[in-house]
Amino acid sequence: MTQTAASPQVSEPTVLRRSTGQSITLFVGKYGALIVLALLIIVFTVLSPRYFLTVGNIVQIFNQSALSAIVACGLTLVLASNQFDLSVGNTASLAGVTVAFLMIKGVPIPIAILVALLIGVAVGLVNALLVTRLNVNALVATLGVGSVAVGVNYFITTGSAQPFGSVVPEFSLISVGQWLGVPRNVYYMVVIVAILWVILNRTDLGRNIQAVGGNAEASRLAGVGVKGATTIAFVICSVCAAITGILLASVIGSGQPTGGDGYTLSAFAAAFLGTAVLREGQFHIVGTLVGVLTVTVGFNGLALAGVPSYVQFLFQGILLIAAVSFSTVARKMIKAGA
Amino acid sequence: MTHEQTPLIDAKSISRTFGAVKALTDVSVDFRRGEVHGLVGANGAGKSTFLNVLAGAITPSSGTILVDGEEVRIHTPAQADALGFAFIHQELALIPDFNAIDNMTLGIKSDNPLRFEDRKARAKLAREVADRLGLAFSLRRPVRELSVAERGMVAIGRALARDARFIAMDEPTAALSDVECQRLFQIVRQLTGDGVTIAYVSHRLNEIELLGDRVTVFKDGKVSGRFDRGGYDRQDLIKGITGLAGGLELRESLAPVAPDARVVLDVQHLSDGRRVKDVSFTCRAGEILGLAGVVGAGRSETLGLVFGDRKPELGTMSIDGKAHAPSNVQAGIAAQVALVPEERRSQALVMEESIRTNITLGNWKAMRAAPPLGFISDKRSEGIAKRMIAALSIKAKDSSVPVRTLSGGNQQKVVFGRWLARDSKVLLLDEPTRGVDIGARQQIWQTVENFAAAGGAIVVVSSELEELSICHRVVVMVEGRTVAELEGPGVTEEQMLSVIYSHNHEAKEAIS
Repeated sequence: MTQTAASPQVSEPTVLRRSTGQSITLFVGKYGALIVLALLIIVFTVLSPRYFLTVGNIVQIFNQSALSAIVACGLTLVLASNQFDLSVGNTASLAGVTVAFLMIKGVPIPIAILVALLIGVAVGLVNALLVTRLNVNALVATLGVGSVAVGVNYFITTGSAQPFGSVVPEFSLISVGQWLGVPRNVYYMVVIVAILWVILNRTDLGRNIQAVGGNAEASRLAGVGVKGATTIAFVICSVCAAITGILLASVIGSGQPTGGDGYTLSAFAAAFLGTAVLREGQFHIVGTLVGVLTVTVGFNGLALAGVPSYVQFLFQGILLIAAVSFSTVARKMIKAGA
Repeated sequence: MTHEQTPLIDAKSISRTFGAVKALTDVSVDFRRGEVHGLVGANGAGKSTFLNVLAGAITPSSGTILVDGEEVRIHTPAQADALGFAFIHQELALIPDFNAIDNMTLGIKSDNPLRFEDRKARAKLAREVADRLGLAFSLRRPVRELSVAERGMVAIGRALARDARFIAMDEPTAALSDVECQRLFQIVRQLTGDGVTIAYVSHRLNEIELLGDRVTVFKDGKVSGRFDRGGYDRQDLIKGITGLAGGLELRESLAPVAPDARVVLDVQHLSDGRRVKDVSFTCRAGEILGLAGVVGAGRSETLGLVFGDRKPELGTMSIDGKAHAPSNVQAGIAAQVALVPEERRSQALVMEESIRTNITLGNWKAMRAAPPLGFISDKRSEGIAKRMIAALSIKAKDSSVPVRTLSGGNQQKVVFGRWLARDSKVLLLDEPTRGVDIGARQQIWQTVENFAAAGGAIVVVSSELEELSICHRVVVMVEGRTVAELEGPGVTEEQMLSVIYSHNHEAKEAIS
């Protein structure tokens, strides 16, 4: 294209003005999770003025967030490609018991870790295979795969915990302990989340994942490898789950058969909360991280305030529902405003 | 006869604002019984907003609506339905898994206290409607198995099943072939003969001229012209739509293909074993080749084969003398083939993403930083996006605007921009100006001409024969086969239709 037609008429692009109600909803849709986080911090600071906003507790909040954040940010890639993965929690549990089981059986630590990570790769590949090649609905496929992971898990463990403390106490050092006063898990979280951010925002793969999530057919016809992008998203997600499972085992000192199961809900809660952070209704890494911190701050603050633990579950559930409602409404508003 | 003169619908001084935007300003339109009332205007001129007011989807900020001379308030679609208003939108609101009977009678209450579904009554009603419309296909098949044209008929059937006396059709022929359009026109005339009022929205001015008893032209949310049959010519309409004289009359400027131009795309006896049975044509550098035919003739599928989206069973293709057998879309793109697909929203654009992202979609290497890291960044795509926005006169504040907010014409320019930025050699266009207003349509055609002038090869599929008449050459396809070749530009619609009809006729005779 060297030259083109002169525009026959010059007209100003129309700027859509929005009503106050729409603006508020859009604002909440964009900054909702940040507002919630800010409110929580204020409330808990008031409730426990001496403990909540201390350096020690802030570090503690990051430490409590670390494992959730790794799962949730991995899941974010799958969600960004407009798929689902309900198997993350089960995958984390399976990886955790596997690494513990193998070490107890005398397998060297690096190999045990490697096998656990490979389990993550395998789960991701199976998920992706079912979704991209056999066109199984992702909800059903990953739910099924998750159940299979539970089965394998119980086959290995017969349902009992796998304490490795007496065999390889040094494995606990992977996550227990600090560098420069900050728990090691926080470093792992920062590194992994940073890598995931770069992948999603600065690589072809990440662009492909986002494009596929936006419109798979249009992406395919533009030359994007849809199946490849989706597959890698699933694999990365499951590997992140496996990493969390391994670190969890290291923290607890044993492989717990159901230890990681709870991460499914917390990861979804965080990722959906994250859609109400800075970008209207899209899944993205920074949003998910804010989502994780919001959930953790809530848990942490409630615990400090001496609230019974069932309230924490209520809190997480309500937060998830509220976040999804807001981002859905905001998205509708955006569409209606166009 | 005073009753006859009371319009069925008399909308007076309708205004509607969205925030500070005046979507409709003082719009008055009346619809008489049994007339076809054409509504024309560029995208965003207010036609759809106006119809949405009648449909109860949008409440006007001010103004009154009289039906049969009495003031009514239409706040919900159910109220519009009760008044006997029906709306057939471009994206037909049919349930794909339901059959024609269930789709036509959707929402009609069964006549018994507990609302048990009266299947017999439904089938009978649908049958009556189908007979009235002269539908030849089975009403028991799920509508997803029907052709686009047939689905359109089901949508009209739904309106008739509830005794609509006012039917608004939004671009009803957009997805129809010319033969199917003729059938639709017959039905429209028959309906008006029965006293039904039709509001007919179309960008195709020849249809408006053909069908419209009266025409109302919209521009910028206002009525910019009203015409009675015979009291206007096309220039009047174009002037009302664009505010400018001149318009659709397309190009005398098309540069002829150089006699010694090389053959870029050569397709011989191509077949996919399904819709495409035996297709042969060539396209030379600088040539715009049209593919004419009815919907279902295999034209889009042929483009898919060249692009690599489908695989041929038989036949050969070559590009610049090199064998071309793309195993997938990526291979097609690597061979510098580009496709502007038929359905812009679902097949070409990521609607929520920016102009920038859509232009560089799948072309990330253009946004990659220098090695060794080679991370991609929006800054790098900005240059490409800016260039294409300027080159194609895309109207937008900047490249970060989501394509969802653009008009159809500007969206289509974004799709063109994607391929122009990738140095395509062969440009395959499937209905390139569907749903695009006249101003943008001219710009898009200018882009196509420029691409040809720069040595590109272009294959155009269009259901608008008028659009094909400006190609260098037109190849006619009938039932999966290329049957004739007509020299252009200036090949007439009559010429194309006569080839299509005569071969259709032959094909049918061969079957019977």
